[in-house]
Amino acid sequence: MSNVILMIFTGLSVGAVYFLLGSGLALIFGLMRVLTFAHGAYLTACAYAGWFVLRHSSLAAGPSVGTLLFALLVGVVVGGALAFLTERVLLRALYQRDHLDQLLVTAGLGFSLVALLNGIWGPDSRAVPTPPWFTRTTTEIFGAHIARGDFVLIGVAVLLLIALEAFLKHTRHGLVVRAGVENREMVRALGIDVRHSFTLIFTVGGAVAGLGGVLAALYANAVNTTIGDTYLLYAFIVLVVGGLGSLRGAAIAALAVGLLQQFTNFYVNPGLGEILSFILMGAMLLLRPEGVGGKKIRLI
Amino acid sequence: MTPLVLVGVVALLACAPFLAVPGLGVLPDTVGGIGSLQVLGTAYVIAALAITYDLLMGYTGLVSFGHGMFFALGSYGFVMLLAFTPVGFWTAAASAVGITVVAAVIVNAVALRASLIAYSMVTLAAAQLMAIAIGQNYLGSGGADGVTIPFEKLPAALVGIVNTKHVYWLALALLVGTFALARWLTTTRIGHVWRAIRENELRAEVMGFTVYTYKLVVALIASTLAGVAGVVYAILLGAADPGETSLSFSIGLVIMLILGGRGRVWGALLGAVVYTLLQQRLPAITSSAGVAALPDVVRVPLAQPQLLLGVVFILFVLFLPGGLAGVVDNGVRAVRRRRSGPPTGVAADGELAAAVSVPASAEPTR
Repeated sequence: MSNVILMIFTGLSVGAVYFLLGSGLALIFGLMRVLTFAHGAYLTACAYAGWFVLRHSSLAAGPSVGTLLFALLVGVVVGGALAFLTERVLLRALYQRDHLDQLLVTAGLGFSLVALLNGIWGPDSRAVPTPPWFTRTTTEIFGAHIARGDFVLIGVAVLLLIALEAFLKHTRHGLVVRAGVENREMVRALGIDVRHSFTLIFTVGGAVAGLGGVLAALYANAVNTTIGDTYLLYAFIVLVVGGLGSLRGAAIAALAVGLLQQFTNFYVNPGLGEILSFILMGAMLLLRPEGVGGKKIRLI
Repeated sequence: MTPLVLVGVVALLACAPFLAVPGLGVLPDTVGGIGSLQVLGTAYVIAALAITYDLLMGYTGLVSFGHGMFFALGSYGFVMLLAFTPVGFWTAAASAVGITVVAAVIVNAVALRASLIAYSMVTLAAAQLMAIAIGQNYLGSGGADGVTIPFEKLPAALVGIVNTKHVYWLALALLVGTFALARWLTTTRIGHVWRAIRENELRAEVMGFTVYTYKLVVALIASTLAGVAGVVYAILLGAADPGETSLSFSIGLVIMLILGGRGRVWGALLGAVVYTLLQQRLPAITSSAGVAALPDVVRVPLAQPQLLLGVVFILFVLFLPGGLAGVVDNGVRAVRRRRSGPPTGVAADGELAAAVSVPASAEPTR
């Protein structure tokens, strides 16, 4: 029983990071029809940014709550800034061309950014100082010892889902985004510049990926230059399974993939969870291309 | 290029092991040296792989993110059959290619049901399955270390430093064969249908071509040739390398095509050779004394071939979608025009069309 509870919580935590990256990808694809490969690299860059802030506190004592919040903020700002610049400088020039060129530019950017990080800090993992209460203090639930970090990750993901939904439902920008997902041409015909929404959504996606990067670094106690690629692949699964452009679909898919992975890896065979996740993605693409998110392409 | 020039170039490259020309830093030692032959051989195999990928992406417009999988299947199939079963060299090589064909039929028959981006994602998923299986050491595939060839099972002519030139010739033969086959295929009727599918799939379908079958055929040809290249690569490397299944390896193939010029066989070749030489040699060049003295801001980016390649790749996508081959073609056309007097209206239109249509083919259409 305690194992099951533990698996549920670790699955949810892993799913939370998938959701942080996948929700950004889902919004971006829904609105802009751009499949971005760059957000995995933003996640890595922000993980390093978070580590850079945290490493000044000692490993034994761990950073204070203030430093931790500051690291998260830095991650959000760096991720947002990177995404903002990408959209303005690189993608904007390509909206007249086909989607493949946009995909290629983001892939090239991700490739370069990871190479730059490799050049500065090398390919070896770096230890991330984490407050003791984050990983070592546990709460007992039905006999299972759950680390506080799990609650933080799950909490952040839930808050983000609520915040994004509120933004899309109750603000004018959110309204334009939802309308743009439904019918971009019509929004333009009404005299609204959709490109502002493109910038906004791409930046939000980057900021959320940045938040995910710092959290993933804290959760794993380590950063290296390959974490972004790994999370990006699972974010793709979340995007496909959840439905292109569906926020709630992404949440459900992230949860499902995280749990599936933890349970099969623990109870059946290590590696099987990953394999099943990719088979799930292939099957969804072929059998239900619109994903669990429901209608053709919907955001909420 | 006329066939005579091509034959001359191949003959010259075949003589490389006997040339003592200095490598000028592009190659580790003189052109005929062991290290240089190894680097050149790698470049030839990767170029052959890039040509097979060009058939898919450049000619037919199928952007696969899993092409490295078939290359890796050739490598791993061959090495693992040699290492874990009593079969001999030729049986292992033939079976490895056979395994690749079977996998290619299964993966592509399924993946081609999906279109465009979805096809890319399905191939990505398939390649990841293999990457995970290897990472978890399923069937003794060695995890991050890969599998080493049992050298006693290779023919004596391919083993040892003295025989590096034989392996070099094998790689060259692979490249020449792949190049010739791809050139021929793209000028046949089926090659024209591939291009029609790339330009407008719906129109090709309406004209009565069964698009799915044509796509399946090109995917099978490309995957099978990739498997053959994988076998040669394993012989060259002496091992099967898990890096071949990674996402960045497949993205590297895309970068080669954009760099060289997609939709042209020799564009893919050029891009792959430039890519491989940069990747193999840049770290060595930048660790030399002259560069080490430079400040970190300059030195760090220079020492990372992937960073340089990535940035150049982005610039090419933005400003030179025709790649290096497109630049060369435009140059040749400009020279010809100057020779043949002032441009006529038709020639100017032709140039405009060439500048606009990104993957314009190098060969004249019949």
